[in-house]
Amino acid sequence: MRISPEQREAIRRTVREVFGPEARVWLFGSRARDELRGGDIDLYVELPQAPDLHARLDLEARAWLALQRRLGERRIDLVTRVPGETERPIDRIARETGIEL
Amino acid sequence: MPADERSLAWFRAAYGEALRSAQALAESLRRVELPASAGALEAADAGTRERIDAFVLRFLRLQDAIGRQLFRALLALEQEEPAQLTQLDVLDRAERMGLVPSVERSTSLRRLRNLLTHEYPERPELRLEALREALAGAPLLLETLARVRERAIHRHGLDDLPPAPA
Repeated sequence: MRISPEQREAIRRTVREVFGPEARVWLFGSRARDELRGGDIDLYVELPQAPDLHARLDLEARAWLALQRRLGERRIDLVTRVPGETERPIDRIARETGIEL
Repeated sequence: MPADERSLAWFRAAYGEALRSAQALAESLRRVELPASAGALEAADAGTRERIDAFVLRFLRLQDAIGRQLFRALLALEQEEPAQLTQLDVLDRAERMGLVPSVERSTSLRRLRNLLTHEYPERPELRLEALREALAGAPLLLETLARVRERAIHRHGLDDLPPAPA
């Protein structure tokens, strides 16, 4: 995993603050792999509840903005999934190849 | 061309492009009607589907025109170096100038993009929700363009800019 302990903590804290203490977050993509360099920070978050779309976009926006500000200006991609939602390929890839933070 | 003239030419071009998208979007807002349910959306006739697709395209185009060009061109007019600014810096400045109500709301509308451009055939209700959200957010884009124009007139004397549609 190629993020610092401080970055890991900032991600965990932000995700729990915004989405609730039961939200879970995985780092996936190139940053989850030690042999690569650089790359976006790809995060996959499972929300504990299913808010309506307006509320969900609002939460995603708040989380993304807080992450941008706390982690500095690198590219951060945030994918979320809510309970009961059909699993997309990216959800499965994130969980199977990612590292839960 | 001196830097000031270059900035001015950039701003006028960016405003013109955003204005054309805004006029098309305003036209779509008068014509588009969303079906009441996800089932009705899936069963909608070709005309309804075309009007919805046109609305989505125009919404995204105006969002891009404002976010990628117009704000940066305005900042260049104000002697900032937009090339040095990240997308978030640009949004922060737009909020401070009173062009958008909040960075959060703009980001939330930006995140609609994926939902609007990808079809999720297994989740038709998500498509309908995303369309409703875009419909609710569209006036904000038009309002933003109007505020950019006001600032350009009052701060930079560009009082020949044609008005944004309401």
